[in-house]
Amino acid sequence: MSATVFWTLAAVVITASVVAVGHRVLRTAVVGAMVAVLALAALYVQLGAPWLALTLLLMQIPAVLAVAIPLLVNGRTTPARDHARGVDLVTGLLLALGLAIELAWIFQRLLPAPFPPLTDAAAEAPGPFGGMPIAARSDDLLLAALGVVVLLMSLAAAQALRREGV
Amino acid sequence: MLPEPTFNSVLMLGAILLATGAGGLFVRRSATGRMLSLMLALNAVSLVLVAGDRYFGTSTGRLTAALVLFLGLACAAVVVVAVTARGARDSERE
Repeated sequence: MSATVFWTLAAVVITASVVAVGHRVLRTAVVGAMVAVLALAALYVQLGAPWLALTLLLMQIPAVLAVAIPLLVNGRTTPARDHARGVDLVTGLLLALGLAIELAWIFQRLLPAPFPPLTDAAAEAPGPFGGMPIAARSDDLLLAALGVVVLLMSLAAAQALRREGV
Repeated sequence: MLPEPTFNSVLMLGAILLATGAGGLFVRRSATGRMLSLMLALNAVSLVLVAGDRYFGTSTGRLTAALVLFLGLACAAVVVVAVTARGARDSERE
């Protein structure tokens, strides 16, 4: 794993997620969320899970667009309505800060644990994407089946909610 | 020279991402904003699961991470339906 690529992607993920959460303009927030998802997919590839990265790209970017495009087109959400004020804002900021400090304090007490090199033979073989390390194992094939099942379940739930008029 | 990334680095990144998403759930008021925040928090969980998978040399973490991603997708589907239904109700009133 390349240190430069990892830390660059980490910085991009953190910056984009802060923009996605904190920016007042919804369009910029959506762009921030998509950049965060793209950088996370690149991190998954770095961590040896390219199939999961593909799943992430295929699932979450269309999901973000499906939610955001009607709002962006209609312009229903104004920046003033979208952000909390008063107690909720202070609670959210304090929660985020406290959680980050607490988890960072816990993790800095752990001993450094370097990643072992990828040992999967399939990862070293030249794959269908010009030698890109694709660690295709039988478990990965389950992802597709699982995805279809969960997608069908969520579509059924969406239809049921629509019928109920939620 | 940048330090070599370790398992702890990914845990730290996941913690920051989770904290950002959890804070966003409070800071944002619209359904879309909250869904974006929830998606970030779920992505943090997936990232830590994938890193654990790589560190411990197992493959169950990837499956669980996929489940978490699909959970985020189902959440997005619910938000889409709720927003669409609310829009239809508003236009009926008008």
